Amino acid sequence: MRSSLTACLLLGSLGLSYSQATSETATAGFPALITDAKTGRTSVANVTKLAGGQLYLIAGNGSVAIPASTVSAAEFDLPAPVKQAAEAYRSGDVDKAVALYPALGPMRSLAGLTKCNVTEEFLNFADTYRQVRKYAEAEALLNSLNFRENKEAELRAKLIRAFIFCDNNQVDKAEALMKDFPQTKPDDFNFPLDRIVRTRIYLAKGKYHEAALEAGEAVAVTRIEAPIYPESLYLAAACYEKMGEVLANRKAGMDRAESDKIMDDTVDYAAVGEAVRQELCLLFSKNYWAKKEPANVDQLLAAAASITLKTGKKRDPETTGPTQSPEDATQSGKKEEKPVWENFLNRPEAKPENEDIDSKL
Amino acid sequence: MRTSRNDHFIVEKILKLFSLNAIDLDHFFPVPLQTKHFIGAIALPLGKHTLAFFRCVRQATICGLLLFFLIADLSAQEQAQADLAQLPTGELEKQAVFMVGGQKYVEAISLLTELVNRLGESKDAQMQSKVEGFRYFLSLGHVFNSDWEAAATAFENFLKSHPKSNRYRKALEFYGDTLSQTKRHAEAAEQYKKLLELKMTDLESLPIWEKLASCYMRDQKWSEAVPVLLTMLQKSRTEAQREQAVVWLAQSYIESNQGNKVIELLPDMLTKAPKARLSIDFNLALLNGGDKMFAAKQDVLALLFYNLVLPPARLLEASQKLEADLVRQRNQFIKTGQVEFVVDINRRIQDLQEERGLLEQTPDFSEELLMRIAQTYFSSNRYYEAFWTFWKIYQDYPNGKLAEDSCYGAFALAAQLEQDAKAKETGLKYMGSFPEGKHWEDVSLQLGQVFVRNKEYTTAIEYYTEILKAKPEHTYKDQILYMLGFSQFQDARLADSRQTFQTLSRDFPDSDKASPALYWVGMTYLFQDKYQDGLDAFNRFTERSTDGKLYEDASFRKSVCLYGLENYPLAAEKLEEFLREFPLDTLTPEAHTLLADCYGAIGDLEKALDHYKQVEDCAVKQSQIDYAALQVGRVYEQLEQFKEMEDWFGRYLEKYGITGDYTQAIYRKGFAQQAQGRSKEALDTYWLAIEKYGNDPKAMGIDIIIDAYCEEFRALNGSHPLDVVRSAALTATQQKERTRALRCERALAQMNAPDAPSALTPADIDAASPAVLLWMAQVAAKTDPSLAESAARAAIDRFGPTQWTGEAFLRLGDFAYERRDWKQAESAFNKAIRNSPVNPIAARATIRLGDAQFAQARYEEAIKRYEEVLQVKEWKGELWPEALYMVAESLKSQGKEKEAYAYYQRIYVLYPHYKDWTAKAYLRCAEISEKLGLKDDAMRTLGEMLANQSLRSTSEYVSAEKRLKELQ
Repeated sequence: MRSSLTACLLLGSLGLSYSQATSETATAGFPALITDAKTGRTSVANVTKLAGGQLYLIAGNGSVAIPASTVSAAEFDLPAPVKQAAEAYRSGDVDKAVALYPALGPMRSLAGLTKCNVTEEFLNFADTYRQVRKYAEAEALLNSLNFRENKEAELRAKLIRAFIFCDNNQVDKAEALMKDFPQTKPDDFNFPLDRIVRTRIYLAKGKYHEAALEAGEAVAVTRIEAPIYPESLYLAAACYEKMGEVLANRKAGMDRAESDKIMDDTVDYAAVGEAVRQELCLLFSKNYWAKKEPANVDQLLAAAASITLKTGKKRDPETTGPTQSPEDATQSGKKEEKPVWENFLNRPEAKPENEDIDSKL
Repeated sequence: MRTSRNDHFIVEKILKLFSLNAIDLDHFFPVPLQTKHFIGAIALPLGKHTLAFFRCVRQATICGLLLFFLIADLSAQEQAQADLAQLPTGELEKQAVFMVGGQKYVEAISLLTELVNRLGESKDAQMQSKVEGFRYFLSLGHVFNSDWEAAATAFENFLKSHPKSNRYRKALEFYGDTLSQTKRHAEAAEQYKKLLELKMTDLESLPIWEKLASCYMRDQKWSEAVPVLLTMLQKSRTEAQREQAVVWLAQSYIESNQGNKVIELLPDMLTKAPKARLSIDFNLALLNGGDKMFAAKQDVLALLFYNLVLPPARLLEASQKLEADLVRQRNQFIKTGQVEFVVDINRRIQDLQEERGLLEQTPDFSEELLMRIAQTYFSSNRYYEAFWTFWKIYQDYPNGKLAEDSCYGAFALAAQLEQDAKAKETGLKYMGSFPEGKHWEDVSLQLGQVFVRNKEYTTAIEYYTEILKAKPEHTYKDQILYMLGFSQFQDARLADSRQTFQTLSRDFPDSDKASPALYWVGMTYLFQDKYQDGLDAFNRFTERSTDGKLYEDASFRKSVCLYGLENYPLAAEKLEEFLREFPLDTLTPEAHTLLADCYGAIGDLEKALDHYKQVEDCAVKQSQIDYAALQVGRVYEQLEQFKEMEDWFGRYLEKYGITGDYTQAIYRKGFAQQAQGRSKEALDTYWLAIEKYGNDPKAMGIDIIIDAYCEEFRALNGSHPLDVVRSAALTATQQKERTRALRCERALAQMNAPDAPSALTPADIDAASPAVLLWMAQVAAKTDPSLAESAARAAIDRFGPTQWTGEAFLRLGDFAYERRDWKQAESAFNKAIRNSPVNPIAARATIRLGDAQFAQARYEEAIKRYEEVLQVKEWKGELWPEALYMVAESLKSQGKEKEAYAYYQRIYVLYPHYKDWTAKAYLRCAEISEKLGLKDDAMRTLGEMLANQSLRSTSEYVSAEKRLKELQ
């Protein structure tokens, strides 16, 4: 029978709980605001642990245990080092976070609670290990956690594991993990890592077009400040480079792969890949991903030096793509609102792709 | 009262905070209180050795004193306000001190001004010392009054009058600040420069460098700002200071056209907790820098700038938050009397407000910024990022001014990247949201192309039909008609397709699709075997269009039509011309093959051989090589050059291994060996192949080889190789080679062996080859119809088009017929016919299709089907009497007995050796005669039937005997 959390807390405080009374000596406990699943009311409690589906709360000189399922959410007042670690993690300072997060250790059992900030921090902790490439530690931490029926937490843990598999060149294992993983949306927390993992899997499987779509979305949707951004750029560059290789093979008369049908042979993919890598190296020169395969940026810097930022040379009107520079558009906008996308693509041509029907009658 | 050393220290602190010297005490306090002991006595009870407590002490002291003196001297003050000039200097001083002590700097302005006026010119050193304080607080009063001009003048006077004051440095800084506030940045810069000449630590000088840089930046003196900022960068100690220096430096570089130097600073800008980057000025500069880079075609650099720009909403939020923080700080400083900090905070708040004002006046550029990023991605061929960015713009700003363009951009790129699901989503969104949009017609055309690309021809037909209904005068109507016609062609609606292409050609003679439409008209004829019409259409097309791929194709198709018209010599001539005109083309292998077929048809086998052999050198697909290789084998067969045939396939197998049609080649090699009388070698060839590839269900020719082996074995040994095959089946079962075991079981069944096949299970479907699957379908038809149907279906689904596909469809049709599922049955029979239009399977399927229509009482359609069978010479045989009988049955069912009679009669007249049909036909004729009242005719017919002893074995014979007796 599900007992009301509020009632438990009340009774617990009087030492007359009808829930399972324990003889365990109460420790200091972790202060938390917990929400009763039945009534939706919140109460302040000192929680010691979660074990065997029971949540142990301090009550008087002892403790009471209530079914964890009666708690719909729990917001713990985290220890100061964990708060700092969380702040560092969110600002991308993973080195600091990894040093501070171990303070979370004593709260390990609480990771199984539903909608609980401790669960989130443990996952952040594991993700911090991932980001600093301490994969064994990340794995050990995840293995030590019991998320019970928390599906969201399981998904994130799965994603971290899949990433680690990818980085350890165990792509098949990553693919198996991701087989039923729901496609995340840009506003999902897991979105960036999801796209990174999918990109890596596709890349390893030689599906470069699919990989580029995943990496492209990660780059386009994620802000430049996001910790995942440099890796997204790195992978996008890798996709373009691989497409360049496929096209080169095609030109050399080698067989076409399944995913290279879409590639546009008028595009110099190798150059595009190099440009993406340059962007990565210029923005994040000290980052792991920029150092992994550094690009030559001297030429770009020289080009930049030659640009008169004040005046800016006009674009060649013959070029495809936007016919107006944004600058022009801004200036001309005062006179006349001209659509930027005039001639964005040439007039569509009604030529079926598969016009070459079988000539053998 | 005694004071300790610590107490004395506290007193000194308080005095310092009051900016007073001990010497001033007699002027600022009533005589009895003009001692350090007095102040110390006030301070002591509260005294602690912390700054906070000093502040408390000071506050408490001030409050106490103020209360005391304010009450005591209330009337005097009122009087003073009424007429300051009438007040004695001492009184003025007293009031000024109280006000300053109470931080009422603004209220003290008039008093201090009066005091400075009275005492400013005094030569007395002690007096000048007092005046120095008056001037200083007067200047501060103006600052707090936000009267920057007056403050600047007051500080200027202070600096002139008290060059040796210990407040000189502070006053100089304030002077710079006030000049800066009055936008006299050049003059302010001069003051800061003077200040920097004074000796100070890096910690002290850094804010001054910052202010100096700020002056230059505000005056847009970028070249002067840069060295100052470099010094600032060098002296910065914290990440925040460094970020500030870097951000300003970047802004100065952008404004002073030093692009490469900006880029070098980028990594330092991406701090973990950005603050300076939140500057609105800086972000606008970045936007500007991005535009310049884009204009100069430096897309990578443009992206760097654009991506660094923060959205205005975030900038405004950050600016407001920063201002709130500063206001809080200022209040704290005011509370604690640290007025010197207040001045600087005021300056920063004002800067923020100005920046914010500028941003608030600027239209929100978030959407525009994303558009620029998208454009830059597009321009740099980063289509994937471009697509997602366009889509993000539309999703984030569905009502924005760029919504239409971004939605269109997303659609166009999705279509280009073959993201068909997204293309459909974005395309439909565009068409729904922007019915009057400038790209509506483009999108409506291209969206249909997406359906076509996905081979969703039915959808494409419906879609384009609707589009033309909605916009009959569509700008791209010609293009749409072309796509519509193409879709109809692919959907086998050849008559509709032809009509669409003809409409296009007629209504849009100037369209670039008018000529290609003629080509497709030709194709529709060709696919309906209307070769002459096809030839005419292709000729019309080649007269109008002389280049391009379609021209080449049409040139080839003309030969195909001639081949279809059985004009082989002319077809060969045209093909020779084609090969001369297009020696290297994707159609070259097809042309060689067809040319070889033509030469084969006119009996010039050497030339046929020559052209088949040329295919190998120009083929683009293995299937072309395989077909030509097998044809070479046929030519050798016809030439009875079996040694050459054997060698040819030997070479083929060596060269292509299992990439080619190896089982067919092995079979043909064995056949050649048989033909040379080397049966044993042939059997070895077959058996080797069975052993090597027999357990691979995809090695489909193995079933043909097994059949050939059994036949040749029987020819050689006079008996079926039952033991050999049984043994092979047993071994295969023991070795758990289910595919091989099933093949052997099928072979035993084909040889009518008494062995009962092992129990067939659904798992066997995965292990079976197509021939085995069809055998399974046959075996299980009665016992397990579900398994049988699954097996037939698997023969199609798992192996694609093979020589067994037609039969598989036929079986599926039969199963559906049994279920009386006429729709499924007709569909399957039609597929069987289409799959192998000229072979016996198609004949049987056509009969069965007729049967299905007959069963639905669609007699006219059924008759057409049966007559189709009767029109194909190659199908002459048992199917013809059956077809005749069924035509007669259909007519009879329609009450057309007389017409039916003639058909029945044709059976026993023309096909008497088909006993069953003959017997049935006799009986039916007799029935009709009887029905028509022609009893004698009926009796004669029955008599004739009974006279034919060969019919005695039929069931109808007994019926005929019985009926005749009845009639007699």
